[in-house]
Amino acid sequence: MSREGVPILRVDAHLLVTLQGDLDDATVLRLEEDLTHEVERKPTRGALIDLSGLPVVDSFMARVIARISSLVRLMGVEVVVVGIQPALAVTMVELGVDLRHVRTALNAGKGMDLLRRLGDP
Amino acid sequence: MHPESQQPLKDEAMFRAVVESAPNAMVMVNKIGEIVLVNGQAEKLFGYQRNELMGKRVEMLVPERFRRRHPDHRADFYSDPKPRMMGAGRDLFGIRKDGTEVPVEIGLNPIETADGSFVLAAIADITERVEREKLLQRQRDEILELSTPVMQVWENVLALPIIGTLDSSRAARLTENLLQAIARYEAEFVIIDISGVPTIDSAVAQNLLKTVAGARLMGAESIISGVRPDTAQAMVHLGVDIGALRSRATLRDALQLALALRREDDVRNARSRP
Repeated sequence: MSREGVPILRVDAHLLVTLQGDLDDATVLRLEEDLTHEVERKPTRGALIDLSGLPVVDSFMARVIARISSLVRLMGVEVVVVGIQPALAVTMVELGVDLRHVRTALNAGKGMDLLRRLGDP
Repeated sequence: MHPESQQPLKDEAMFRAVVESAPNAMVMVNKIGEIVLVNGQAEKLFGYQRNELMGKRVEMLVPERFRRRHPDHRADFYSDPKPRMMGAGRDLFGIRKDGTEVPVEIGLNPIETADGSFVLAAIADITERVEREKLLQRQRDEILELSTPVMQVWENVLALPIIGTLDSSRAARLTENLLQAIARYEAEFVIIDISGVPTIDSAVAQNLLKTVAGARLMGAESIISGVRPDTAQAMVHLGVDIGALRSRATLRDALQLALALRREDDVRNARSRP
């Protein structure tokens, strides 16, 4: 199991998770744990998961992302997946991995706008 | 060639008359590749006078880039002489006196005489056919391109009018074009107008939903417009689950909805920005 893990960047009440390169299953699973701990540690309103550096998203990773999303939403944190490139979107749809219940945005900027809107009562 | 010693003059005269009156260009070549007979059509096609061709190598009518290998092809033909088309599916060209090339089709016929073996080549100018095929191909490409147009109708709003049947190859191209346009225009809303789709079967509906799913993964919300009553019936009947997908009767209504949603987002963005 990789000791590196996926870096989680905090900007005030928002978290930025950048997934890059080839990720093994253990690393993806560890992200779930790390992210929930980070949410518990400090007041958090939203999390961006950036997939722009990912060549492919398999059904396992998509399931974990969906699970992370509903998990932290229960803890009061909205998740927005950003940075899916056209080719990756096509592949994901073909694999039947459409992240149906996860919010998406084109890029980190639009994702932040969406998070702020979601946090706006 | 003066075969009158073995053959009656009448036969040769008749042969020459037939060659001369043939609708195609005709060139007869002896075993070492010298031109021994041409007709008027050949003069016209290649732009040479008859006396400029007679006794010359037939390779003078072959473009430079094919010239080197031509004697080998000729030898191959003589090793198994029977009537056939030259080039077997390859594109053939002749070269005129003025250096221009002409696309041709060439039929080869072996002719045995007392003077030896000859090949009679019938050469058809296929310029018109080639032009027509090119035009047809260009039109096919244009139609395919036209049939998957993505346009930006407003800032962050794209419209995709689908006209005609949506088979899976077209749907794939359409999705690809759309997703690239979403990235390029930073689109947040996509209006997919299906009023020009004659029939919706379950394959078409699935393709449509895939396009919507792809757009959503890139953060763009789709609005379907132009759903006619029969289309709506078909979709419900097919059990197509449109889920949270928004739909409007006309493109105009869909654009209005997109603009309203966009405005709402803008207002809330302005309010929530720190």
